Amino acid sequence: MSIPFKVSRRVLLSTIVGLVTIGVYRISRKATNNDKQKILTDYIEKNCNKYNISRLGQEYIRPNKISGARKDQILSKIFSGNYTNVDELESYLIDIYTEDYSHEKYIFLNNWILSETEAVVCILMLAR
Amino acid sequence: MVIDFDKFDSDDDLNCNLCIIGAGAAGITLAREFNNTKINVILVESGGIEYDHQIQMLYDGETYITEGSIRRKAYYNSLMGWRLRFFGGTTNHWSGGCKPFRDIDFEKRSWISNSGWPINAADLEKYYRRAEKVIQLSSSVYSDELWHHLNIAPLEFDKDKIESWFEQRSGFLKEAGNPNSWRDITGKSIGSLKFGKEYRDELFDSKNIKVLLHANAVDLITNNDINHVNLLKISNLSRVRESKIIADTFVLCAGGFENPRILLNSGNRDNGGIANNNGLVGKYYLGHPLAEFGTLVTRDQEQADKLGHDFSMHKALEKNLVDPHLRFSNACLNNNKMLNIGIWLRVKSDKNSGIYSAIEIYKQLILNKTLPNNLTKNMINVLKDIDDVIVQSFRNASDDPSSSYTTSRFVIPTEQSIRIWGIVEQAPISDSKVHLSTNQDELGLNKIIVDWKLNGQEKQTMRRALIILGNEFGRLNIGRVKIDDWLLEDDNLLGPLSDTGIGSHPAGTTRMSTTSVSGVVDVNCRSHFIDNLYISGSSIFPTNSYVSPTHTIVALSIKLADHIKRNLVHKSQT
Repeated sequence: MSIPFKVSRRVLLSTIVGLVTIGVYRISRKATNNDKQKILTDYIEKNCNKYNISRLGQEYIRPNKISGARKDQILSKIFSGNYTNVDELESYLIDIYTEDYSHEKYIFLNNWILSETEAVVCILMLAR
Repeated sequence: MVIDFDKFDSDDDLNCNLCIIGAGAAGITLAREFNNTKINVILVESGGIEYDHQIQMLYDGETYITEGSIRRKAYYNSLMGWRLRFFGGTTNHWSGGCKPFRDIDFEKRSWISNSGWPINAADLEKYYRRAEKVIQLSSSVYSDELWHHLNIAPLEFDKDKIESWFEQRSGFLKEAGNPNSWRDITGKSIGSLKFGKEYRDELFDSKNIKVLLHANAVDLITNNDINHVNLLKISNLSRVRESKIIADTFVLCAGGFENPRILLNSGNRDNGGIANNNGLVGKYYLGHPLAEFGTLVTRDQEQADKLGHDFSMHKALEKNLVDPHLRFSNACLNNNKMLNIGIWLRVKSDKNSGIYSAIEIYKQLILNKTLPNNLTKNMINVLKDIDDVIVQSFRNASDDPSSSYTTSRFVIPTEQSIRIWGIVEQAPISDSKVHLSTNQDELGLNKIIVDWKLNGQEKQTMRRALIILGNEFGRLNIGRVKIDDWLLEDDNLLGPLSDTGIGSHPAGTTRMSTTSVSGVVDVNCRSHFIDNLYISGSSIFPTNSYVSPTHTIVALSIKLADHIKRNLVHKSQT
């Protein structure tokens, strides 16, 4: 099933960022890190359209494409960031993506070429 | 001088030193090299100086595509649509794209069977420079150096993987009124340099060159040993006038389909014609698979606008438009075992435009003979843009051959995503071939059947290219790439390649090789078996890169001219 074009065009990238944010939000809740929770909440309000996330999430989420060990590895990398505000979080995530792409650590999600980290965050969304 | 063979009133044979068959890019270039020399040349052209549909019909034939185990007729008769049979040949409607082949295009590559030329890029270098004058390019620069001329900051791709490169478009500014970019001339007549128009006066006024119009090559007559051509039989379309041309040297310059066709139709057709002792004439046919195969969604509007602008055509040099695109480094092609491939970035066509809808209806209703999907929606779109549809339809239905290229150019920059479009080299395989049909044309010559086959490496290359590109766009935080569904399907299923690859830039059908075991002509473009028969044009390419062939065709013709000059002078001295 393909994504309606208008939706993918308008929201794809912001939604990926949104997915990342919400995923990290959940992670940070588990980690009970209040500062990070606040940052992520702000980030969600700034960037996310929940309707679109839900809609695209259904299309993008493909569990089991990354091994559990690899997933844990990626999650610990996300947690290890030293971000103290929304901009730093965004910057930190972009750095991770850049590193992924530099080493061709990519995964196909519904024909999209996404970094492994982006994909892991999509998987987190499934459990939400 | 020029002779219209339709009105030729003599029973005498025609004599010359050099007989060139075909007045397209190869033939005209070759003939011009002999202007004002002591060598008498006859340039034989089937058509006149204008398009004539009856003559064009001599190109008719059948085209088949094999997908997996299924062989089917091609939807589009590319034999009629891509080529032009009158003075100037297909340069009467080519897109003007010029760029030399690169080192790796000539090399034997272990992952591509039957690859490797018996010459290398350095052998052609000086001829490429001379060719630039013929095709009227104002510079020899094709590299990313041109971005600086354009005052554009180039994308910072990993140069071990991707590099941006440029095609120069021959003649556009001269023909199209000095436009600033491709978009300014979208939908208008293609403004590429037309060899027939450009060099007509020079050849028609020449003292040592006779241009013979409306004269068709019907049979190359050899000696009994079939190792020397004695004469060429020619005929006009009505077959009322027939004659013979006796020459020291004959050169076939009739194009990727007609060169093998003339050889297969000459001498004993049932025995494979002439110059075909090893049965290789017509085999290893190469087309240029081309298609849109992915989408880049940029991170924001600004990125889309920038890419749309940067990767459109620009006026960069004195006389030419330049067309930026992406290619892969030699190391990347090697490491990934890829064919050579070029990538163009284009703003997305508006699927709600009348033109797009009209083409969709045409493709499904006329070509596929099925009831179109979304017929109502498409009809509404057509009615909404009816003025534009009428203008474009008229242009394409008219006999103006220069307009027939424009249907693929309806690019309307409304959507802010970038379509990724590519041309890939075809892997040479002997099963992809041109052979004779039992059907005959007006001249009694057997028509051709083109059997086009790919071995799957083309799709694999496109897929790999898109993955590399997707990772680079991600790394640079420009956007994300989505691969079209068809590219992820079975490698035997051609998807949109089947509509476009056959017939485009036909090559390989009389390939160049060191020995007669693997090709038809030698390093000097001479038949391995016939001592005074040469071939020029894309039919001698053993592999075809992704690059438009004309620049290389012209360079090879100049190289051949130098060789023939030396040879004829040597003969006259001995």
